[in-house]
Amino acid sequence: MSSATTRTIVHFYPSAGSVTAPYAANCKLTIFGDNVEAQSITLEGARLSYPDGIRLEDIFVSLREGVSSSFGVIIEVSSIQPRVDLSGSQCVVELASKGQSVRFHAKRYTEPLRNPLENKDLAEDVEAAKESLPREVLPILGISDSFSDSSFVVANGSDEPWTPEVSNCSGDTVQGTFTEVAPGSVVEFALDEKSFSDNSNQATSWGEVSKGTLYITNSPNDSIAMYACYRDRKTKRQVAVSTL
Amino acid sequence: MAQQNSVASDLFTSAFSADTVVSHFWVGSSPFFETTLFITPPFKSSETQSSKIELYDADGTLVNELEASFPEGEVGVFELSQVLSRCKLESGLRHGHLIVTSKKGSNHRCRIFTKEGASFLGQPSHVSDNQGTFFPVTFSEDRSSLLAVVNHKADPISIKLRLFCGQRAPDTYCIVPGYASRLFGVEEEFSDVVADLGDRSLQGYLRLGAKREASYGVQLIERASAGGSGALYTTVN
Repeated sequence: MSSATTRTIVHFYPSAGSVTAPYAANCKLTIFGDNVEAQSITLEGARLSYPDGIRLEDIFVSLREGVSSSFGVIIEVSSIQPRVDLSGSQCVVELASKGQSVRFHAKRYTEPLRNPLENKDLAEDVEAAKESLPREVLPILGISDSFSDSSFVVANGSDEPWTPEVSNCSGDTVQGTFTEVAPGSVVEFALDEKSFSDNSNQATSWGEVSKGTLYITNSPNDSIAMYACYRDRKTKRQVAVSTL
Repeated sequence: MAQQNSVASDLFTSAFSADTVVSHFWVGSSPFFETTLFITPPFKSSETQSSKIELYDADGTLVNELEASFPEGEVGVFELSQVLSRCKLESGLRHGHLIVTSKKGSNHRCRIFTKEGASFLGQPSHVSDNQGTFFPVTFSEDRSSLLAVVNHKADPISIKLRLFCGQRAPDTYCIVPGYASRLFGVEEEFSDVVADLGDRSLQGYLRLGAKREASYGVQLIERASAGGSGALYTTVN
């Protein structure tokens, strides 16, 4: 997010597992969104096993211009060292406001194999087998109480539009404002209590809570990230974000 | 009691051995905050869902073990103050290592709330012998950070904690008994680095690793002032 009160910081940790030598690493950041000019910048000077971070408005001028918006960021960590497996690298995104921060792990994108199978027929069989596997169903915990409201965010970093298909626990499609998310855009869908409630409001020590689960039944490809988001009911600020 | 718990544990194990999802959490209770467990059912679940809940206190002693059942299709809500009361005080509050086991397809979340607000406690980052982790930490006069560690195994572990802050990179070691939980105040562990902070704000990073055969979860909990004597707690989700 970029607004008058909230800035985004990307923290990354280039890691090669048991290899702890401080080889040089790079971090390429790409931003995209409806009100944001798509842009990529590569940061050099990072080291394996050394965490680091950058405030995005320090390197992307367009984010300093005060336009309030949600946007997506793709973080790619790489090293020129051969035979170094960076799959253990990690990234935390921080939405920083004065006095409070919300931090969450970014969704991992699995890079395709660098050395594709030499047997073309076998490679095609592998891809066909992957396509035939049932798609993972992603649950979203919906909560509405005196503290929080719920929503989920879709960041579409792919080249194609995508529309979430949302069901309740019984498998019935939930009718709601789950519209198509255009390529290169970020959309937040507020979750109406009626859409997720499992019809069993519970009395708790902090008051009554309406809760339920929604399921994304058409989990998208790796270039689309989804997050459950919980906002403070009074201030409307995010208090927790988690990857689906 | 230990033997009875072992027998009960075997019975539970046979019922929950296949097609289950297991989550480890750090959980705590104090006069200022409480923790609640949420369990979401599997998609198209058509039966009552049962979850096994085990709580080990800060020293790794199993203090509570129970089976919680929730109606089909409903989110289970379990206020952990009921079971945390049996934990001993450590670092000023009652806390422990919670292990939740449910049918595959279920999802477990913990939420921490104070008078001022509520936030989700992310599952601790898993650290093993070939996979470390890191946390960004902000040092300022209106924030403080706690590092919560839960040991997933029966053997004690030694963890190495290094802080990267400016030009400095001090480290320290901590011992966590088997199945135990430990809470470390980051500002206290690295007091030299944050001395004389004044009204400045410093960005640092904590890096954690593990020796061979260790397996543990670690979470950074940030406490931010919310005006007056109130506070908000957030973690990395």
